[in-house]
Amino acid sequence: MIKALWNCSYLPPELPLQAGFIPVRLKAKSGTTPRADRFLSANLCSYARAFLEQALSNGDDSLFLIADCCDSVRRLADALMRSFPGRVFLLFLPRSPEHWPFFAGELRRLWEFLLEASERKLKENSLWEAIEVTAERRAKFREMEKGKFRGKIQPLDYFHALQSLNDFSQKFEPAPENESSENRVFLLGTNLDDQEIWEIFRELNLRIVGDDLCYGEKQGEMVWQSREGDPFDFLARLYLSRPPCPRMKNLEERWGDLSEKIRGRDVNGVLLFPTKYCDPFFYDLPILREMFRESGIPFVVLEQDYSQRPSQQLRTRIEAMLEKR
Amino acid sequence: MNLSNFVQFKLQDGSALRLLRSPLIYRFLSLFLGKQSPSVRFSFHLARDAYLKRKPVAFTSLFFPTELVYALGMIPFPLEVIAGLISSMGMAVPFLRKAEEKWYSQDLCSFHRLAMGLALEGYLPQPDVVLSLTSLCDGSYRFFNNIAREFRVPHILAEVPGNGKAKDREFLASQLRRARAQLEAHLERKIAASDWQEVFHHSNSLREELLKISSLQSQVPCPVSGEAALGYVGLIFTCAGSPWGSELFASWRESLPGGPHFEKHRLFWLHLRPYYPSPIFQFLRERGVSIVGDELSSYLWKELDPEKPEESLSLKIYSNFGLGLIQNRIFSILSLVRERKAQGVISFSHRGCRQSTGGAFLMKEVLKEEGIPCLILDGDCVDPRELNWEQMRTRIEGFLEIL
Repeated sequence: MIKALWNCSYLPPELPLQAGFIPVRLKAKSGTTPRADRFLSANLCSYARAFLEQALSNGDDSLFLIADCCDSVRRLADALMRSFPGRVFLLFLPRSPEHWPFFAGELRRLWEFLLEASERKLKENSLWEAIEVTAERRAKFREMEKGKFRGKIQPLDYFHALQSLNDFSQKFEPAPENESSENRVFLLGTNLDDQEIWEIFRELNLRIVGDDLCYGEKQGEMVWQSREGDPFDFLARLYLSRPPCPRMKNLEERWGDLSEKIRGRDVNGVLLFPTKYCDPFFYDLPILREMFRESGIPFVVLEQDYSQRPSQQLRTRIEAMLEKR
Repeated sequence: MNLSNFVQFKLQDGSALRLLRSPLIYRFLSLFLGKQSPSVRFSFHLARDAYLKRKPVAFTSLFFPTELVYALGMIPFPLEVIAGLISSMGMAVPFLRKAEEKWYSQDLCSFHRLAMGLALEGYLPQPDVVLSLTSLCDGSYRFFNNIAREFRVPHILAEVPGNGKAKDREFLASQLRRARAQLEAHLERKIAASDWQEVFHHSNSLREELLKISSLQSQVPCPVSGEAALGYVGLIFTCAGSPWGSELFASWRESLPGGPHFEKHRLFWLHLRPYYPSPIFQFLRERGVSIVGDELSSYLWKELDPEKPEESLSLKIYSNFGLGLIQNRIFSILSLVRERKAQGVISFSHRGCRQSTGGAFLMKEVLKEEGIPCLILDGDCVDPRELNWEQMRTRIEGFLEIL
């Protein structure tokens, strides 16, 4: 079966799953990007560049489903379209939950693209099957999260659980519970795909007791009781009403829920991981610093640049933050 | 001392903040206005009305349709244009540093960083509202949000999806209708049909002037200074809907030198120019280079229809060929390059710009396939600290040799 690789947690894997593809979120790998450098300049989001490098190295016949979430990603879509004509779909993503009818129209457009690519004829209502499958995976993930909140899950195990949740070629494997640790931290950032970073977390005996990552805790928070009506309308409302990221809402609109979460988890500090050249997150930073200082929560900013391997400085800076408590 | 030197002098000695809000200084400066160009007179009126709060003030993003602002009797205060103006006066660095001190990263667009520095230092007038589009630049949404937070005023955003199919245009028009309703409620003022007629008449007259200038740019040799045209870009997006628009551009067109002049190369410019004092354009002139057009002043919209205001404005916004996927932009650039008989393209890669700079390599590749050489110049439009002139000069010289 052909894979459908996607870039953003606002892109519903339910659609490619039902259309007969294997939805897999494309992880970025840290390192140089010689193939991507031909298309994308060095000042573009390092995740977009790493994504392109991965795509160009793949060599299979995957589809690329791209949510139009920022300027960098739009240029990524341009580069993919040039390299893989007919295999790329760009989905426009409105910011306001009130714009769900427009988003539902975009999801219909995606569905038509997928049916054409798969040469299948499926009824729209069949989408409910994939919606159920995905909801079950998320329910298991949500169950696992309870162990995370108690500080019982090792960071590397959590990382692998997140990967398996978004790779439909495998079953979702919940992380096992383990011993707790005093080093309870909260993660803020977009995505954190580099395993080496999670290994550093493990070596420091950290416990991630909460996160605001694109592919983290928020995925478990997509809950919708009544699954009926038009499946596109359902998905549009479900995804646009999930806890938002910095691209979708400004910090003030997110801060209430976010700070409540952080306070409720009894954390020793917050690790902020903005991706290099991610404008939405960098506009959060001045205000985040102000708000963390006002609320007395220790934090450290650790820029994530996919064009480089993580340095040992990361370890030193996290240790320094933990020593402050 | 001319007017701009006077303003620069006052900025440097730190008293400008007080002066900007002094009715006396505007009365004094108005004595010298008669001899000034329409662009200086327009800037004077804009600053006076905004700082003295003669009318409600709207901070606007570059592509926000100012026709809506003028129709409501407001003053548009386009922050990216103001940032370019401050940079052209050689005053950018202290404000950029101020923003950086407050953790606005140097990786962010310097137009926005500079405007944030102006806000943090108290140099901007108090707005009543902040209006922005997601058109072209996604960073602007979050920047204008932070600005609205700084001034504790509402931020009204309209999203610009895709590249202008009927469903996209209707989605945008519906958001503009909603923005209009919010503004009318906020200002307690309704837009009458006659307001739209007047404002659209001015916008359509500006369009006529821009069409005339555009046809001049196809002439050989080109009578229009590319450097000046790039300097006027911000005014197109500030004056649309005001009587100043057509007056200002007609006056400029009439002042253009006639007759033959030395023209060895004709080049088309992508993105904006460096606004701070730099030797780039003098160097190009000395080597006989005419900049025969730039993409941002080439967005020409269809005549606006006062019977369908929001639909017309939506269509105007979508006349920006930089929106959506890059094919649209590439197609339009190719057509402009041919129309203007340009031999090559300079793509100025503004460091913090993801949408334009991000597409420069793809653009260059397609232009190369079409036999059109393209030079990508890395730099920054408003931050002079990013200028590496020696390196830039070497690259321009090398490029001119292959033409």
